[in-house]
Amino acid sequence: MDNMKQSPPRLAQLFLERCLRDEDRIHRLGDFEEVFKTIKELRGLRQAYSWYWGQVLRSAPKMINNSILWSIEMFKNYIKLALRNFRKFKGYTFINILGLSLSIACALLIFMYVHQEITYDNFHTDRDRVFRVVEEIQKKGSVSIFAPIGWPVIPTLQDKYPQIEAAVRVSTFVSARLIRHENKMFFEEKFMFAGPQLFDVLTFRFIEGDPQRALERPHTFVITERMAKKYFGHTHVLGNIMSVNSQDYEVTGIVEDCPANTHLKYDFIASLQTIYNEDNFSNWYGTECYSYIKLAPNVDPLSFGAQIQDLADEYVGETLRKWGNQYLYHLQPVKNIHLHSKLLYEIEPPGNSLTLSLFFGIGLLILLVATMNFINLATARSIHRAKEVGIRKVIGGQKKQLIFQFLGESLFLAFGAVILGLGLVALFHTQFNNMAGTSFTLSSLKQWSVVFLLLGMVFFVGVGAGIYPAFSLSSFQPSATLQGFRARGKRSSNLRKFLVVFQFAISILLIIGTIIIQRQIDHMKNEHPGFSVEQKLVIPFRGGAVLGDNYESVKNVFLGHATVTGATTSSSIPGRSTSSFSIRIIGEREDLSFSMYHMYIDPDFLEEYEIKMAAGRHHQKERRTDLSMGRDVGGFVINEAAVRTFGWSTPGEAIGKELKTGLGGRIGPIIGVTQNFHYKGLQIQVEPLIMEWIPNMFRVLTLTLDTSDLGQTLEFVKDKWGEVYPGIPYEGFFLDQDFEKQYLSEVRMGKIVFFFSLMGIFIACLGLVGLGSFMATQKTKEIGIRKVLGASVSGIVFILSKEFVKWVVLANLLAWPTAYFVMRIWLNNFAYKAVVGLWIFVFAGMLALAAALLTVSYQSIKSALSDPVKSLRYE
Amino acid sequence: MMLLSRNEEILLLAIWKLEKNAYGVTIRDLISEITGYKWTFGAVYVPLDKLTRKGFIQKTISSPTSKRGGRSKCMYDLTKDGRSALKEIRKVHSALWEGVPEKAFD
Repeated sequence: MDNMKQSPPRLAQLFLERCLRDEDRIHRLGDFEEVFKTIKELRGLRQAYSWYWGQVLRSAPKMINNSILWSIEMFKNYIKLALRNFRKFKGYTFINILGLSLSIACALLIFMYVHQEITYDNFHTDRDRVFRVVEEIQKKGSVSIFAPIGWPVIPTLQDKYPQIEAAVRVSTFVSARLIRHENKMFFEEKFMFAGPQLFDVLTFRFIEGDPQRALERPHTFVITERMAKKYFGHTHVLGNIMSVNSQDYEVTGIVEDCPANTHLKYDFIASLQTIYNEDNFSNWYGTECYSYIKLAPNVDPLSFGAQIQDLADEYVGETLRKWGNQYLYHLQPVKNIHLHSKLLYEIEPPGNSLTLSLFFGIGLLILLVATMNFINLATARSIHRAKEVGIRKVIGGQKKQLIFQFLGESLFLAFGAVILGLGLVALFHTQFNNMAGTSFTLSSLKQWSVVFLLLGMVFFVGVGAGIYPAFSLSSFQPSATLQGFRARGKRSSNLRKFLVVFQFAISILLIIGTIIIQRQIDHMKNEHPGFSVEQKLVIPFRGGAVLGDNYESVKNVFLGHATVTGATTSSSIPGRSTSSFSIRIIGEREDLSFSMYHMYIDPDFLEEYEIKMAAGRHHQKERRTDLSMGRDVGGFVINEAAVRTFGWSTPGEAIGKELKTGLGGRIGPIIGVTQNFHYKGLQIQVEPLIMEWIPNMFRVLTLTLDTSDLGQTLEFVKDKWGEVYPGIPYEGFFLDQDFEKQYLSEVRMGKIVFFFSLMGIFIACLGLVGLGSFMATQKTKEIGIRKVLGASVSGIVFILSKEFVKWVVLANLLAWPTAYFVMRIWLNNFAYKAVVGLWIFVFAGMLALAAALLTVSYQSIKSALSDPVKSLRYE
Repeated sequence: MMLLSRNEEILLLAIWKLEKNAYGVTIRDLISEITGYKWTFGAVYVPLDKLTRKGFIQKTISSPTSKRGGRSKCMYDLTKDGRSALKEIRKVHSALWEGVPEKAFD
């Protein structure tokens, strides 16, 4: 028999080795082998083999259990030591945990926000096959892409191409509806019409009703859960009748509320059949319905998109060519709509991926600052742990074990911080919602993605913060550490300096960001918009309340009160949306058509809003010829931007020129030019505007109030409204507040960045507290000797603070160019930019310096005042 | 003091009986013989580790032999605590059994 066959089976032996602990391995393997050899001699090799295998397999469970028991024992020891260390260095641990949990709470909120934004429309079943069809309209010299398209496109596509599994048209161009059930009556904005296949294309979760048949008949609609609760108090409302603008609609389905991350957030979905109209629905030239299709599986969207591109040519190509227009259709994945699509007439203002990446960056930076604190404090503290490391090594601890021990400790801390951070989020999520305009609830935390995110953060922070200290601590030489150990080498102290500089650079960056955003908002708010926003009460007319030709008498009703000093009616007000039509100049380049915003105003409007004229005159009450009636245009008033767009050099040149408006193809003269006023926010340049006097377009009444007795005046206005329009809700608001909504997203961003820069600097200062006290302890002796030799307290404070000042100054050098660069990109979004002065940078730097000095001064003054006798006796 | 478990008692007695020759193989053989069924090594090692931790037995490493593939033996030996634990359990046994009539087994 050769030597190989003498020994027990290799694999079983290997397995056995794995199960045994180091210290017992050798002699226990020996035990097994001894019996193996005895059996081999008595009963042969085969028997011995099977005995060995059987024995190993039957013994394994108990032995594995046993070794787990031992590692638990060791683990207990690690935990005990970790807790002892935490208790011994309470301050450090507190700073670590506080900083970490604060930053984790911030980062979690930011990441949840970012997650919500990037998962927009990701919940639809078969989302990879769902597309929106959009329309590119090419005219001479101009290309525009519209999100909504003409009505006939979808039926034509569905007839022609079997590749389309389902398709739906959605119309959201609906003014608010007055919805009533019994005595509950509200204006609802979230009202849309949709074709019967809506629920085959996009995902809505039905609570009651049949998705296949819910939108088949006219005057039926599907409502969301919260609306059912709002009007009925419960959700078992299938078949109930509700009144919509005093027409009866039947509820044919109840769906769950729309998630926050969909671009189609509607509470009432009525059947498209309700608004069916032969003429309208066969018009190829409008852009009136959003159209979604679901392709059959395995259809390549790219080649299918190429097939449908020229659809319009086949049906209305001749007319289009006559006009010199071309229509092209494109497919757009539904999940890209929110972040990657900025077409004309988007349903919801699209998300801004720049802001999103800024936020994501801030979240990461905050986490980074806290992680750096951890590294800093851990390396600073390493001297205290050096002895422990030495002893562990002497009694046989291996480097691997030590690394695991220290990594384990930091993972443990990170885990604790994540739990605390979660608690903070639970406590403060409502405040964050108010600030960021999100709608997180406690149940948003119960998602798998959040759990993974948290585990990811434990890992990122735990390992990121623990890895350096773990390796540097575990590589200490036991002989050196046990001999009495001095802070070792320049390397770790250089790392500490670098980290502090980096932390402060991040904080300064955030402070500069906050100031610049705030300056930009103030700049936009303070810049005179070109019209008067003060003391204007605006009342929209809708539902059954109509202005129309009665507008003068309506104005007189409210003018009856002494404190109502003025009244005017118009189709819209600055800050709210206006409609746009094409417009041409008669007699000059008639082939050129411009798309411009139109507003319809009464003769008092420009005076009430204190909009100044640049040339000509405004509409005048006495001149009835200024009024547009039927096909006659009384006269156009345009703004300076329009003058420039039309290509005239001075406003005066425009007077008397004739225009043809896209609304009804009517022709009339320009009678006046106003100075530019910001009827949209100051983010953009003032765009061309055409104004006309057409009473039946009036939808809003603006009252100028004398503020002497506002409460009483408002009371009067409300009473009058109730008198004249019983049963229609009063919806007045103040113009200045409404106009500020233009800056909502900037204000929100400003608040978020402000808050996080506070956090950033707070956490960085926390780190300085720890580091400052560490350095003071290190220098106890030096301070003692200096004092003995006659140094003054202020001199010593100076020496101790000097270094920190140096670091903060260095941090400024890093932060300034970065901040300048990033904020320049952000400011480029605005037409009217605030001035970015050098003082902002200097101020941010001084602020950081002051925070740093304040933080370390306590510690340095304390050690400077200490008794040299005591400090020299230490050790 | 906690009483010994039956397994621990059996092991301690086996080690005592084996005197200077108590190690994995002999212990397993002896207790298999007495109890009448084959013990696995796993079933022997786990209580052995427990007894060592409690300080009832102590280990000595002997020199390696060729029969064991060149591996050393780990010999077990009772400590003073171990012996007193056995005495204790014996007292409990006799107290328990006392007065049980022989007839009960018929």
